[in-house]
Amino acid sequence: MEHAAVSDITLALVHERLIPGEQIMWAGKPEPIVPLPWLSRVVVPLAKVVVVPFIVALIFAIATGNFLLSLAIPLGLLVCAWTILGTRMIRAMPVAHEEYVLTNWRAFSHYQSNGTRIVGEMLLDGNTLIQKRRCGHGTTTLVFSRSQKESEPQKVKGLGSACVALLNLRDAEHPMRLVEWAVATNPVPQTPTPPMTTNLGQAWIQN
Amino acid sequence: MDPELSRIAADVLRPGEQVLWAGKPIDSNPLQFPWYFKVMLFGLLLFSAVIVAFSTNRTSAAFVFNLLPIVLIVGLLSLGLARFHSKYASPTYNTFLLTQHRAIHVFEHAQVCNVTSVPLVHGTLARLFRARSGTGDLLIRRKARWNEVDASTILFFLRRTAWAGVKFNSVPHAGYVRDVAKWAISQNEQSNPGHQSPRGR
Repeated sequence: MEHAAVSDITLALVHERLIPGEQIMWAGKPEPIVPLPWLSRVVVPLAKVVVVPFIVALIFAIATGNFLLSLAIPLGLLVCAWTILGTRMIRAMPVAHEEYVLTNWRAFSHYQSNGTRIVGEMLLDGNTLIQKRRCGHGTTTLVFSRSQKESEPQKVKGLGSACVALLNLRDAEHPMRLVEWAVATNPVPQTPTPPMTTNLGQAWIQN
Repeated sequence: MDPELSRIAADVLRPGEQVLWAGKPIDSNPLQFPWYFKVMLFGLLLFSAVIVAFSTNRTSAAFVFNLLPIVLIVGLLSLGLARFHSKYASPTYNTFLLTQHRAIHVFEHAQVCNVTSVPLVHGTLARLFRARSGTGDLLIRRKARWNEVDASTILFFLRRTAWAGVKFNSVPHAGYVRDVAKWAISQNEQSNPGHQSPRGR
């Protein structure tokens, strides 16, 4: 199996975590440049132009007591800010610092930049929800989370969900098929168990 | 040490790495509004009050009507940020550790686990945000070099953070934890001035 796509550090980290019978099936990196959606490329220059008039209009609205403008202008400013900052955030996504590894049991993501390291790890079993998102320019993001219902991620008590994501992949079909195979093959824990005795916990203890 | 803390520490630590401090957030106030919400709200209130004071048609109703949309919008934004903070301030899912060489944040939910670590070496800063009744938010981050852009970028995407740092949310005895982190940084600076990030999970 070809694993040269990822760094030795990532492979070493994953090898440390492997349990008996677990094998690396795929390793890869995201595309380093995140493409902007066409809509952002059109809307961002427009948003930059209208920000200043919107601020002037807000001052005018507050001064004159115009309720409709007072409501509409902050909303407009928010949309502008979100459009401008949102595209910067997408561009600045740390894809150049991320690497991914799939085993027959788990999905790993490894981010490393300037000393900071984030290792994401997730069990692939029948309760894993796979979401696929097209990112444009032929790249795809795969998001794995625990499933609550058929197509709904398990919530962290109303605070979003926990996931491991493989961002901006050029060829997502192969890892996708591998994950689907792992999800279909690996057994699902029968009862909810405390962290000490989860499959992942057992895997760590065995390691 | 608490059994759960011991399990997490045993899993995350490298051989020979010693824990200086380990703990979980204190979830006393699940929804904490960010401090800049109060600043922004007070600023807008003041701004609106000044404009109303100088206007000829001044009524309290107009003042309230002017401010209401801003309060609503800023409030909704802050609520979103407060919920994001709460996710990483829940003792059920979050654990923080300080070792001789690293600051570590472990987030576990169901069978998903994220481990963030920052080396406590030269160029690492430990900053205490808020200290109320002993609890506070501690930001431990790497100082960007002149040619590093991403080290100063804070990102929120796909419900996780990826930045050159780690945040200890609502930790008990936050001042003490910051002092421990600073002590470890100074020790590492003295023992190995040119030390780079250690290998490890």
